[in-house]
Amino acid sequence: MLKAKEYKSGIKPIWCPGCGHFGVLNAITKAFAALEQAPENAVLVSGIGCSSRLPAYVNSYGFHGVHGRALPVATGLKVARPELNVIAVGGDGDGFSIGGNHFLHACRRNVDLVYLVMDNEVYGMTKGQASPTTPAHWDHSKLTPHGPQLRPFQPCALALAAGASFIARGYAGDPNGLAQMIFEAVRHPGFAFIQVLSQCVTFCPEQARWKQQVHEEDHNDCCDPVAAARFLHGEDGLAKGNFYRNPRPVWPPSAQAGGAVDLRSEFAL
Amino acid sequence: MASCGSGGGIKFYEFLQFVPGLSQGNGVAADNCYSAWISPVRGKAAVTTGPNSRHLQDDITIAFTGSGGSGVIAVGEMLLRAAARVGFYGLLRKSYGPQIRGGESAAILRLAPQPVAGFADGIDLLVVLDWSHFSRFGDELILGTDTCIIEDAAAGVRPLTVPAAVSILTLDFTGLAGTLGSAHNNIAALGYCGAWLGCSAEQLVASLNHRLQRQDSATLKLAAQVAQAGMGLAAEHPPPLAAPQPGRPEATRWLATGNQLAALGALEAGIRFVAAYPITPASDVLEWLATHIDKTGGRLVQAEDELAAVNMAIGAGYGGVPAMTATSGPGLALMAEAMGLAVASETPLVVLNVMRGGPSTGIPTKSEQGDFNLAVYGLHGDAPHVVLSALSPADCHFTLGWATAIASHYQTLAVVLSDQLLGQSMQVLPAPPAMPFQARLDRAALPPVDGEHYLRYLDTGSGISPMAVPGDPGAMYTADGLEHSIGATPSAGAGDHQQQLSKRQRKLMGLMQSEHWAEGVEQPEARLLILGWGSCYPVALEAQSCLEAAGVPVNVLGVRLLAPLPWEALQAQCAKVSQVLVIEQNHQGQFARYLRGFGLQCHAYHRPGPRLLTALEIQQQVEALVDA
Repeated sequence: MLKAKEYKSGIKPIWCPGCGHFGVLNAITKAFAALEQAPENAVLVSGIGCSSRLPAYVNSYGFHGVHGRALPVATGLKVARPELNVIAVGGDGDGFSIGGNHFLHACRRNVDLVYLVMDNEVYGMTKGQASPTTPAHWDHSKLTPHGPQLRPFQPCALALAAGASFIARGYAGDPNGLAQMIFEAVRHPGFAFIQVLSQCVTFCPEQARWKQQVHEEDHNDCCDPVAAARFLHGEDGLAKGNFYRNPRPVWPPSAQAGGAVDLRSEFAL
Repeated sequence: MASCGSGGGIKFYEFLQFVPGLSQGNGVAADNCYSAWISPVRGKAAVTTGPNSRHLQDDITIAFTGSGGSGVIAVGEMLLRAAARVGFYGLLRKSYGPQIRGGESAAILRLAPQPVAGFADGIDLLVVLDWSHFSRFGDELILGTDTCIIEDAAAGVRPLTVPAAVSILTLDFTGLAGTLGSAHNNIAALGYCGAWLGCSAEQLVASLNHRLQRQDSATLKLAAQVAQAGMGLAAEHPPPLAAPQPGRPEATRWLATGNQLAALGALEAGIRFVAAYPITPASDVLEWLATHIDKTGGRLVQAEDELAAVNMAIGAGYGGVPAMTATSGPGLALMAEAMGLAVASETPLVVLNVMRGGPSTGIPTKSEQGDFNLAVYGLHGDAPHVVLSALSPADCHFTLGWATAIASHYQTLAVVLSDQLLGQSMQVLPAPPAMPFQARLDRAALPPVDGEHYLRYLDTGSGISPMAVPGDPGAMYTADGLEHSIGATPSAGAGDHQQQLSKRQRKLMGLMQSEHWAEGVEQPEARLLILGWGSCYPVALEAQSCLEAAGVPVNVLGVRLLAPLPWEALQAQCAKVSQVLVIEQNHQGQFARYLRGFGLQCHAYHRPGPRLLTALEIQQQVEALVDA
């Protein structure tokens, strides 16, 4: 049995001081300790961005791929190696913009994965551009000097519409609560989506206010998609808690029998 | 019988002898199952020596044309199956437009008593069910003055482009089927042609039942009656053409498409994960795998797009499960970024690209070899990887197996280039020997993957690093598309970058020792080499036969390993002759430009699809070069 800190790889994160991702890293290691996770049987899969650097910082297997494709890599790995605990991690740009299509289909496919998105409403690694979750009038980016002028994406509502069977929102400033959420997501059979409010103190210093603004809205027992939708379309985006949990059959259905088979006879004349 | 250039007599080459030797010293798994089956020649290239003197005494080319949905492809397939049962070998290619119903459609069938790997230029017998879209094939179906045409009475107005000199027989297939209450004039034509080739009613009905196995018994019974009526018509009004004689094959024979054989080769070599996104003409590879991979304990996922497909395969490959995807040009372009990831992270990955006309949507249903540049040069950064080409429909089996073994042994990307012609052609072939390749992470020969000192990207002598997979205790690492140190820590340092780039390039040099890099046929006194790749190789062999008859011996070489190119071995082949002619089916001469980049002095002949390169035009090119 390892302690939480023993799930850290020892590689020093590249993140800025005060970055929310440190809290997420702590939450993952705490959850692994609670799960008594064998390090060799867990794989963290990511795309590109500040948060996608996380796998290297965890004492487990990891795959740091290309921008936006964490979910396909995780899906292929989990389907091929169903005994592994596969967790895809990344940011809001990686997951909702360039990887948006994969997000929809991963929710729909319901492979037994956890997808943890560290949402700071900004592209940090490319120096502060608007992402799909950036507020419409956020005008701090040279790329959108008048603000994106678009309604922000609602990841949890979208996950619900696309068929995710576990939907939760955590806060990096509450690593213990987030660790519990990750623990439950890993135990959930099927696709579990966790949006984590993870502040970027460098490009969005106003997110320091999340400490006061984030509030608890646990709908832990909610398995009614209509009730969940009503809630998710009415809340302010800063509620944290388990919003929806409704297990349905995971994909692929069951393990296959392997072994020697005749693939050739159909071709014989 | 089909015309084959000014030289007259028709020749024939055997089913490609595609495994004239097993791997030696390249570490790729092999056993000796091929030994009884293959040519014993060994050497730096798999080249047989001697005349291409397998004269075809009785080959015939039959084409069926009609509208899409009129069943000409089905007739072609059923006739090939029935003719195979009589003793013929054969090859069938399909040419059709993008419409699902109502466009143009043709099945072109070459039959002979010995194995057939390529097509003849001309058509001996053209069976027309519908003339209305025939003009769209104007330059694909070459009618000679000795072509015999059988047209359905209901085929409509004959185009003015049909040469006046050809003999035309009008038969009422539609009326014949109609009197039995059937709308299937194609089945009547099947009976007619089948009877002429010597098929029994039983053999034709077996073919019908195989093709129409999802139909109800009343439909099958009616189809059998229509076919038998067609046979009766052949007795009354046979084609004005001598019927070819079948062979007496002893070996077990198969009937399969190149795409099916590619899929089989992949599974037999150990592929156990497939990610699929449909695209013509690669979908049938994926569809065959979908219905068969479960039996092996493997899995197929239909992905949401090609980006997902290739990344899913990378995920499985990282997990130690041999994985592939299959696509065609536009899909390969979408996969290019992740292919670079497979190279950088050293993840085994097989990508089969079944080429079609391009760029963009291009001509999706027809064949071309335009993706050479994309496959060889299309990756970003310095990204050494493997590109192979399949040299015949049957060779798709071997080449996919080899690619699967290469990808896992070298922990790299192996792209296989096939094309619509190879992939969708249906071939009667001798049953292939047992698959000699197996996907295998070569972990025993490398430093241990456990313990505190595990270095995933260690710079070993061979360049191949020890690859742990999730589940291996004590060897946790993060595979990375970021440049990294030998210990898999992200690094932007010049030293690490230089070291990893060199290592990834060096590890592929083991392939230079493989004799599978090319196939060829040499002739005494040859002064010229026809050099091709992929589906051009059978055409080159056909041209070689024609040239031999015209008294011009040439050598032929088909390159299977396009990248990294075994340049020294290729030079040795080229040094045997005074001239080299590179042929390919694309507009820019992509392969020839590539070879000139190495310093090869060569002539080039290339033309885009979908009109296939013919033996005749290659013969003419060679004769012009030899005369000059």
